[in-house]
Amino acid sequence: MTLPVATLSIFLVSILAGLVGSVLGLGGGIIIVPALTLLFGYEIRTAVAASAVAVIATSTGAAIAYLRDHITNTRIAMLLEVGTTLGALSGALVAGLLPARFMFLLFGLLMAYSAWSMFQARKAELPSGVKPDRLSERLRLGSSYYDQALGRHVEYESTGTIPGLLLMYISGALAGLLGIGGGAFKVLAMDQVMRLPIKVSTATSNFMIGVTAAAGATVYFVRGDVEPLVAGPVALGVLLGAIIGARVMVRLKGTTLRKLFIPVLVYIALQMAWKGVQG
Amino acid sequence: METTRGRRLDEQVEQVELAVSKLLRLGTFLAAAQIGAGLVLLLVGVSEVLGTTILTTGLITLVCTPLMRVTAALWIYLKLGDRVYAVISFIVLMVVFAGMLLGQTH
Repeated sequence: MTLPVATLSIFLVSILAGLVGSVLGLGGGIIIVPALTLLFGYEIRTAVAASAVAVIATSTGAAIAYLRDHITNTRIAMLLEVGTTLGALSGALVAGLLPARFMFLLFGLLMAYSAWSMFQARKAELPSGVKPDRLSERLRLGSSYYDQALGRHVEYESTGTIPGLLLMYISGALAGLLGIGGGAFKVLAMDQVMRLPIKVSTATSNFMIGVTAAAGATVYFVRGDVEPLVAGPVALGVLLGAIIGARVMVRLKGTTLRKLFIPVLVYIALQMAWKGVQG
Repeated sequence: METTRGRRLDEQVEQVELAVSKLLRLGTFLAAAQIGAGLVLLLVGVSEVLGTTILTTGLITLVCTPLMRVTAALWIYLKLGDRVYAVISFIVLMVVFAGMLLGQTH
């Protein structure tokens, strides 16, 4: 492949990663890393560094649109970021305590179970009967947004604040330990434990992943893992994809979003189980 | 009386959110322009040093945008006198900086 062709190909693949990432609240690493290593033959180090840049590009590209549409719950994002950033910081310390193989199998199972719960809830457009806990009331976590697909204002509450924070801590550590599933885990925690509307969960996850990835990306820069000719087209493609994706997502129904999310969860669960079995 | 105050606060929040969103858009546009210009210079083969420098500056600008967001939020909460969330944003910012200094990836 000549240089301009390779750059253009990376750019196009990255648009897809940005689209998927912004719609589902994931970092897009599940597309960028395999594409760069398997399709383009780059070293895993280069791919992981470019993926960190991609996570930030997804987060920022999507945040521009979601903030304007008030779908992101900035208060919840800010609170949960305490958990994710602390988790990312201490991930390496926890890594020595448990064997990676065990972690992969455990989280593979957890993701598979989540995929099943989400399949059961596939017809639920919005959560119902959510009673805010004391902390959620004190921190005013409940909010509202205008749902373009439903054509009305949606008021919602948030619950399970402490379990949610703990899961965010685990998600931060997980991203560092296993390198995959951080974004999906955040969406799941907000959807199934804090019982937020799925659109709020994905938009808020999107807002958060960039903040958690910023420290990591800086380290890759210092180490010299960031290849300008790889990370450059990745950043541009993902930004474009994320901006388009955010526009698409606000028009989607919550149930559609769930249906799109389930196969991704199954894929992550299989990937984790495979790594666990392989050892 | 209470509602007028509430509405004024809402308007205030919305105004600042709009300002943050504009700032974010400007930062993103700047980053994308630098990355694009750097890529063109590299691909056309004008100057490898200049191209790489501009591109890398763009990537660093992009990496800074999430921190810009947290800093802006901190500023909003301080302005609105919301001490709890100002402290929360400050903690997040400090943990991210600690992560950068300690050299943890992710």
